[in-house]
Amino acid sequence: MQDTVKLFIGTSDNHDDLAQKVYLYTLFKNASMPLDIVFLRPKDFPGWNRKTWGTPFTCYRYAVPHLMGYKGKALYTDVDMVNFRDIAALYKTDLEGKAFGMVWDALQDNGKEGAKAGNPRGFWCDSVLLIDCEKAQEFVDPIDKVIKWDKNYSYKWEVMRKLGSPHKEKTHNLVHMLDARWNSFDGTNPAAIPRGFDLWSKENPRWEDKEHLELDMIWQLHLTSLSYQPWHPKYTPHAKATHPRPDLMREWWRLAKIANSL
Amino acid sequence: MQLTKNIKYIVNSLHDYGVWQHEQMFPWMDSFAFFKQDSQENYYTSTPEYLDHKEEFHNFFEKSGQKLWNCSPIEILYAKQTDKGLHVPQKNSAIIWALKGDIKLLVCENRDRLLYTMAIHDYNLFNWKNRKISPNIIKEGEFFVIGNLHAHALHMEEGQEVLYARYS
Repeated sequence: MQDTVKLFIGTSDNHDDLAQKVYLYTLFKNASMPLDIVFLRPKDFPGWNRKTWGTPFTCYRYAVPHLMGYKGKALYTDVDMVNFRDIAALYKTDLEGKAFGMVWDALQDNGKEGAKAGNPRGFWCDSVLLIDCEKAQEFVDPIDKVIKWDKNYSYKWEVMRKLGSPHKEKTHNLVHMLDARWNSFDGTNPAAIPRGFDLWSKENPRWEDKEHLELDMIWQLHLTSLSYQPWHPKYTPHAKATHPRPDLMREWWRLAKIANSL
Repeated sequence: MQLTKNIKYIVNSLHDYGVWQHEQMFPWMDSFAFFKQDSQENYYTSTPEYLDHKEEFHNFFEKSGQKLWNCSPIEILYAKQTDKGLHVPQKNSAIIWALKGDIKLLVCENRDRLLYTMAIHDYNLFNWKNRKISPNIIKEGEFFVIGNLHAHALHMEEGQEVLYARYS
């Protein structure tokens, strides 16, 4: 067993600085093991084709197996998170011989292919990604191919396709299901289908129909909706919107003040 | 219409966080939106200092707008000049508070004239009269009220700060 948590964090060059401070502060506050953290920023990855990405760092996570020399275990997360529980517990999760550990996203839109296959929604979410770097080699292309990826969809979907998207049953030996509390989307349980929601609907479910987690039930908060993010990074083209969970916002700003004062 | 103690507290608390956003009226500046009216759902910031005094904050800007133009604020923004920021000339009703520095404010009937003069290399040599532009200074701690019959543009120097309430 490795005695250090190897954690890679995808972030922007300088537009998520406060989010990064908050995340680091909470990670170190709760960690029971030493953390070896590597930030994945655009300035450190020149030449990558980023045209289909939703954030400045979307596909750097698929460089992790390469950066690890295709050996050992690594954890990847986005920067827009707040940790509330020992990250070592997540890192030590037994993948049971599978290549990845991820949280199930019940609302993941599987596109036309998914609808055609009878699975319009639901697949694994790669924003908290526990990786067996040796086994991952089978599903992640050599780094040169990932860098030059020029299809009209993000490389992420290529990995998901290789894993068997949109068929969950094909992934049973490939993806280990992590507890959904490790990746709580804006305070909700991503693995739960909202009350009364039709998975074939093209509309998004109502916020109040989602399953909400109390703050003390969240292990890792993911402020995933860009328009809700309290720091509103300058790169986001989305309009600013008021986060529907003021309790989470108060906690985030409280932590921001502490992290800034250190 | 001097800012109240609590509004100053809310605005000053931004410096404790040091997190700056993008606003289309202030490209490349360090800005922060407290409030934005929206046809679907209004935007309100979530800082604790703002939430603790939200009612007082909005009452202040509401009363100011009602008194001057009989209307409510559309957006309430903070902006701090960087080494490369701009204020895009506007033709709307606004109240502008100079929070830090004595701030240049150009006023002209024609907004295009202000667009043509976003870079002025020597304010002393510039022929204001000829171009029908009126140069003003908002002294630090004071405010400027402008209606929508004239256009206006802030020419700010690095480090200068404003609070900008737009009403139309």
